[in-house]
Amino acid sequence: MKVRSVVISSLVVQIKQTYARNMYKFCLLVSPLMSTILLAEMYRNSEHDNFTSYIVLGAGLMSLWGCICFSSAGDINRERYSNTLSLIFISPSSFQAILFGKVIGNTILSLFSVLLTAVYSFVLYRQPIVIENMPMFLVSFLITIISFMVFSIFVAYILVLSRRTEILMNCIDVPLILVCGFVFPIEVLPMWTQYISKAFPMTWSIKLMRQSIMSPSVDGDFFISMTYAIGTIIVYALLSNLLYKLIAKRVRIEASLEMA
Amino acid sequence: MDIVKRFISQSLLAGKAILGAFDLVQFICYQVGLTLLTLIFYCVLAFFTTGSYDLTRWVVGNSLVLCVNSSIYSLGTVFISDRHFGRLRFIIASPMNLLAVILQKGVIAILMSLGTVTGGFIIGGLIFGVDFTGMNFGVFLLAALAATFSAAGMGLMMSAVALLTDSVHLILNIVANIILILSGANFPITQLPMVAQHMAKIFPLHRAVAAANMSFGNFEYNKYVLLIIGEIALGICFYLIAFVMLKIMEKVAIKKASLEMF
Repeated sequence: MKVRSVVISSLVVQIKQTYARNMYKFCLLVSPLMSTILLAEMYRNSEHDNFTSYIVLGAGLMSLWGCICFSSAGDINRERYSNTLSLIFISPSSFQAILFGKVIGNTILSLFSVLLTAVYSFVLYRQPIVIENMPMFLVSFLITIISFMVFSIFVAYILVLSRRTEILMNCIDVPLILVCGFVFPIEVLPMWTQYISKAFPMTWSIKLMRQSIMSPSVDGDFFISMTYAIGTIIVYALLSNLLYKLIAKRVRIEASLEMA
Repeated sequence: MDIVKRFISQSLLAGKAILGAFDLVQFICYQVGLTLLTLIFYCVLAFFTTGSYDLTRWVVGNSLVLCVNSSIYSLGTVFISDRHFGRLRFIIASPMNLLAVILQKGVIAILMSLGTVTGGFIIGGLIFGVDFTGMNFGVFLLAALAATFSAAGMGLMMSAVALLTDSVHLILNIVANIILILSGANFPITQLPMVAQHMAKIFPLHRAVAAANMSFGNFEYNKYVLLIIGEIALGICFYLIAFVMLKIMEKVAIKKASLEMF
């Protein structure tokens, strides 16, 4: 079976299965509303009054990450509970292609939460959504989506190794929002934390998005951030590939996917 | 005496059921690390939005909100777990008082929540430089106890609701998010529309957060007592609603000879 067909089939099945889950419906439909209200009220009377940059983008990214985190990462757990993890792992179709299809499916569906955040923001707060540099915003949005996908594949591989997936995926939700600067710039954090932040591709891509929303012009700093974003994406993609090879080898030697 | 012993042993068992999913590392990551990071997240956000270095109000408010983890998420699924592990039929069929069953499950959750809230408050306070001199710790502790009591009541009520639906996680997440918004921990709820302000009165933590904020000055005895009594009364209502719901379900279950009600 061609890799493309595997990816597409996995993607279609994933979208159907994911949307059928009520918890996902919360992440997709309700969570954007809650995040929007919380951020809009916290930012009310603040000197940082760029509504699009801090409320729409912040709440949108929080919801998007929630959807991706609890679906892509949680899928491993669901496959394990359904006793299908070992089957998809040893099937002639590549496990990497199946997982990639799942992540793309989740991401496509989860993008709806970003759109919904913009709608909620406009309906509830009547604030216009202003993007100063639309072409660069679209480029940085694309980079952000890719960075989320690459990172969630990396996390999904790590979670293959653990039976405590539910706890682990809960443990990465808020910390990533905090460290990657989803709702405030990472410069607010202590210096040592900023070094950790810079290791994640999302930190750079979100910085790009915020810059393109707030500034009509593109400076050297923008391209430096873009280089770091692409660089970290490549590093995570390579790490994921390496991790898969190590896991596949270990699974075949120990004949078990229950490694924790 | 036997009744007390049984109550304690059943409470410990309920506590083990909640904590059983964790080993030490996971407990530290989830119950300690994650709760602290959640508190830190909201305090840093408050720092960025207000520009104020005095984050006492947010440390106090968000440390109380930490009890949502144990009270809503953990307690909210206890009866579902009982059904899952085949224990619910014994609870329904046994002659034991249902209210005692509910309270047994609440005790450990309240103690755990109280520990989380107090620990979160102290560590959060140290991280964000809260000035503890002149603070009335008793005022805070009583407010925290009232908060955990009412939040645990709501958790148990949700747990009873959970038996009627297959969307328990959806409901628990919505409730937890509403509590976070309406608690007043992160922004004054007077900013919200009147409907939301009235809604806040029937959700836990709103009064407790206001009471706990009095531990750092502006202490008004009458207002404080009213807030604490209000929070505890709300908690009692939740326990009673949970009791009534389970009683109805018990009757329906016996009549239909089934516990699968959704």
